[in-house]
Amino acid sequence: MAGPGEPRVDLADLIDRLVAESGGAVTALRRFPARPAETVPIPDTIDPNLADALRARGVEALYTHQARTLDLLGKGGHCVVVTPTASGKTLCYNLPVLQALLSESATRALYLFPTKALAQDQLAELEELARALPALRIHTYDGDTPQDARRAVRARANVVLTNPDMLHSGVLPHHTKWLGLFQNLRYVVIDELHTYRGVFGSHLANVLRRLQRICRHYGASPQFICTSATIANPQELAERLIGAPVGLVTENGAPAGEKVVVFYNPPVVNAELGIRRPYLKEASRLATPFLRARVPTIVFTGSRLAEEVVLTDLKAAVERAPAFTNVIRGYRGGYLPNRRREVERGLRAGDVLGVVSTNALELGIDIGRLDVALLAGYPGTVASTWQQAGRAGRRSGLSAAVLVASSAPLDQFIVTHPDYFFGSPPEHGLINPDNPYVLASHLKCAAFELPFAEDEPFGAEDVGRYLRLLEEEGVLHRTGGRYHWTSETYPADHLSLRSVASDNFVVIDSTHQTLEPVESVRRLTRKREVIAEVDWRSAFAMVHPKAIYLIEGQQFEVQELRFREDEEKVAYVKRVQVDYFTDAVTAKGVWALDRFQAGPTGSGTAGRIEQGELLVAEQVVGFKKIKFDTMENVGAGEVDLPQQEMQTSGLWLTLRPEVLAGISPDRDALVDGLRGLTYLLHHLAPLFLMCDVRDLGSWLGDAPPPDPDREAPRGPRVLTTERTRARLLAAERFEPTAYLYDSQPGGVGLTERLFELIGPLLTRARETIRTCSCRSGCPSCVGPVNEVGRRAKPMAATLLDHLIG
Amino acid sequence: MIPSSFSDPRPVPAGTLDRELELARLRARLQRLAARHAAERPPPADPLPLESVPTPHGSALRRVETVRVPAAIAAAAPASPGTVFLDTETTGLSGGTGTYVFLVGLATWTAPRTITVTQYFLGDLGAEAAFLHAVREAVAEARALVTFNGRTFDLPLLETRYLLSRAGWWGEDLPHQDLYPVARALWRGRAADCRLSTLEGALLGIDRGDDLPGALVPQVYFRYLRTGDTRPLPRIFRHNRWDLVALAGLHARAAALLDGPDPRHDPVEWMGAGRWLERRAPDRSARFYEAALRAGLPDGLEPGVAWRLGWLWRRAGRIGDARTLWAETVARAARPPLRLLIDLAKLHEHHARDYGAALDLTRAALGIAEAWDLAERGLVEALERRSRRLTQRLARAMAPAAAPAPPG
Repeated sequence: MAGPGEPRVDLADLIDRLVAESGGAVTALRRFPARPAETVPIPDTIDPNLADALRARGVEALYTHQARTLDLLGKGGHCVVVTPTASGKTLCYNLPVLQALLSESATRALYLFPTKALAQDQLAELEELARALPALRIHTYDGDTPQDARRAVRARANVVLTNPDMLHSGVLPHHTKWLGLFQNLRYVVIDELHTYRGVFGSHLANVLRRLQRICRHYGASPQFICTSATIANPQELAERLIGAPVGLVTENGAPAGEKVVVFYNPPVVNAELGIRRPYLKEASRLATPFLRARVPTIVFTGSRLAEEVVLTDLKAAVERAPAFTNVIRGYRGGYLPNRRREVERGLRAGDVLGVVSTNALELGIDIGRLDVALLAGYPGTVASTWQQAGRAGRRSGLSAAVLVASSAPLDQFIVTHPDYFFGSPPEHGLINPDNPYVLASHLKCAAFELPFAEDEPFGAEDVGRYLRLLEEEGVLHRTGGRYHWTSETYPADHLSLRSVASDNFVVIDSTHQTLEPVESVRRLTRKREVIAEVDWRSAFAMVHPKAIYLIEGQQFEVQELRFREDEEKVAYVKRVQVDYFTDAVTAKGVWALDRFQAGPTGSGTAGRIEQGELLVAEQVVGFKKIKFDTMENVGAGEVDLPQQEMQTSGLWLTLRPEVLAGISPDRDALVDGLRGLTYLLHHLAPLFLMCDVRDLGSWLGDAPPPDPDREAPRGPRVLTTERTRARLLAAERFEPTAYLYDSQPGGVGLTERLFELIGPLLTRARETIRTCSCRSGCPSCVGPVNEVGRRAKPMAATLLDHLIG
Repeated sequence: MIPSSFSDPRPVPAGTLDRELELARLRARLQRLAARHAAERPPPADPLPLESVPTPHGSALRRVETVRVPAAIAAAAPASPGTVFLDTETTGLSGGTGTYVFLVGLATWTAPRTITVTQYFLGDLGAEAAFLHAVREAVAEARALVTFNGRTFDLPLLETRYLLSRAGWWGEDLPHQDLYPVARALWRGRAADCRLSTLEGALLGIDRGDDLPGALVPQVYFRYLRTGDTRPLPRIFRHNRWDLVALAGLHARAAALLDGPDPRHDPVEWMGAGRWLERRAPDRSARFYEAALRAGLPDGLEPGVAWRLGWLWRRAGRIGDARTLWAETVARAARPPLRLLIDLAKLHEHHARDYGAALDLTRAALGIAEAWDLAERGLVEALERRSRRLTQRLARAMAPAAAPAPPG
């Protein structure tokens, strides 16, 4: 790390050089001036021991946002604090919580973090602060908590750090074991509020309704303290999550040094084909001079594979010098917790100079302060981009964020339209806690937790009819004015808050494996070396047979993937040394299984909308071998893996072939227009559903058979995007169909509702195209022009005219 | 997240939504997902064979029954009068606050062949306070509680019910013995598994005949709640009563067994008694092992018991006896266990200084370990080290005209 004596001007020079040598690749450079600290003295009301503990950690005064939070809480309300990374936001909640604990030792607080890793991180921070204070019992409670420790945590912990999933399935259904917590619950902290949006957020809102219900039972009414990254509607999101008015704290009193944000578009190397230099190579090339100058740097990548590729490159470029041995580390979700903790500690201590990470480090894990954030690829949203850029920045002195665009259309659009990015407010976080499916599932859990009184409120909705419905189903039984749970099942087990399946694959290094022992003596079992975990959804793409699996630059070749239902999910890998990595080729397909509703899309007969059950299948069909140094494609292979199928609900739009033919004889142009239209509807629909873009999926494919109920499934065959297009263009009957579907397996009713709203949705889509100021397509209308083509925008507008009629 | 460009400035049209329609769809979906309950007929008005017990929270339901048990079950020395056997029937196995205890069966020995069974029944989920109160009253006089797997199942569930009703939990004040771990130690070798229903057949000769399977109990109860149909309820009472009789019978048999060794019991049970007592009462444990070895055990069990007994003797200072026992066992056994070879080798080396015998055993152990191809290199390496050391010691001891062997 740069010592205190070294002038920061180094970084300014490095940035100047980057710009000067870029040969026009830098498309934007914005400077954000330094901002002084705004502080107030530590109030007298703060417990003297706590004030001393703060001073011992160098906190002589409070930032204004911290003081304002204290004020709001003092008045008895809930609050949400919006501050950028590393602005002392954790003190916003730790301060009132510790203060309450010191004044009344029976007090309890519950902290919710979106991930276990964040809870671990905050545990360390809180323990540090509480060390000088009278004995406080602070514990995490999650899937990693040993069984024998759980009882003690339940009975005694003053502060419990957990996650929504554990609260939902492990705490609330066993609330009698948490008597002490619920009777004395004073504060509930919800960190990283912006992550709770869409269907996940709708679930959390219901979990919080259940939490508040249990609290009422025990006579507690806790105050909520939320923190959020910068999004467009933090207060609204918090109020919808908590179901009560929430005070908003937005002023940021933390000081910040000057910051430079640079957009970098890798130069074109083949003008004819429009091929640019590989952005991952460019990212590591650009990061190298910073690291050589010992400037602490973080590189964010969009995927795990990209993370490993950049890491391998960067280690090769920087760690050759003896003084730089092992100063660059990787960081991502699949790493085992120990390895992650080691990297976090190394960063804080300064032993680690550079880290290459997926968005896992975007959340508030404490890794100390870094000077440069290099974003390899656009993170996808304005809010995420600022979050990642915010990882670089000190209280004083210069810091820099560099966005290196990939050749993906969205990246190219952003990097070539910097004003679009710098002028855009961050995104909205939307939720719909009264989604009938979500609500009904949580009502079951709530009735399991405590019998439900007939007139009991649960959010704003009148839930009486849901309760009657559940009684008809037999899971509830009404007696004495209350609904009791009457099923053998444990409803929380059948309801996952997140759409990702929890069935992870473990990656086992079998390089030194020998035969299994025939018989064991005093438990002489072979220790298997688990080196990583991969979640179910990405497993086939990451650890298919013959894949090169990378972990901190070390290469492993997958020997065998065990994925059958009755087997433990394992990828066996062996250490290898090759000069390439693999990139999976995925194919996809969408089929209608059942049709529930159908109708015209507008006043005419040109378009038809149908709603029903869909089968969405994806399959990893092969892989490409890509050479490390040159990013050349040096080979390919096929793999034989099953399709990953999901049954869900969806809707689809079709224009009659005659209508399409009347619009244009050019099928290519029509497909472009339909792709643009699909993109637009996919991105607009969440607004009508109060969900997130990722809660929906979309696909442009064949029209479903006239009668899916009767027709036997035609051996669903998945195709890559290009093959699908080719197939559409060559089809005898040209009837491309735009599908929108629920990303959650089984569906949570999003498209059923959208079916009702199709009129307003199409009208709004047409207006969006009309009023969008872009020339021929941008992420705010039909998608980036370089993805959907120049013809997409006008064509989509024409198609909409016909659909609306 | 939703780009702001999409979301501003016009509000999303509302009011086009038909809540009722949505609900109807939800209903249809739930019906598709969940198995339908068959159409249920109105209840026949059979009165329950239960008496009403007044409590401050309303009346609770109870039935009392005296059971004359077969001789095989009878307790020679009935458990002390304050000992109450407890078994519950519940609406599920998952635990949590949504699992109800709807039947609490309590039993006591009232004569050597007589058990009195008292069952409290939750006839209405809204009447839990009275039910729990009555159960508390019933155990007020108890001095000890015996259950089968109650430590992890019945008692935590009851505790949850009491806490949920804000009635104090009484379980903490009452000594509790869970027979399940005892049964596992005693009878693991005697029955296919250690479930109550398996053990009662194997050890007490109980045949319940047409008993209601435990897995069906919740459904029968739910059906009663929904329809008021009381007809199948007696089958639940009978099922619970059998559980209590089996529990009391096994408890009596365990007590008698641990009181031995008594020739009425099987040497395999003595082996089990030895295991249960190994840490709790080593002297008595050794007596059981000795008796089992004397009486003879089925093939394969003997070397293990000898190994355990040898250790008890070693700890009691009878090292010579242990060595003799192990040596005889090794000589007799067709395939002596590895641990016995290793431990006997250690005794030979460190206590008897018989390096030759120790080396032979170590080599035999090494042969077994290597043949198994154990990935645990540590064990093989340790055996190899021992083997080398013994060879050196042997060489030194055999060296002519040497000074007295250095202390090992």
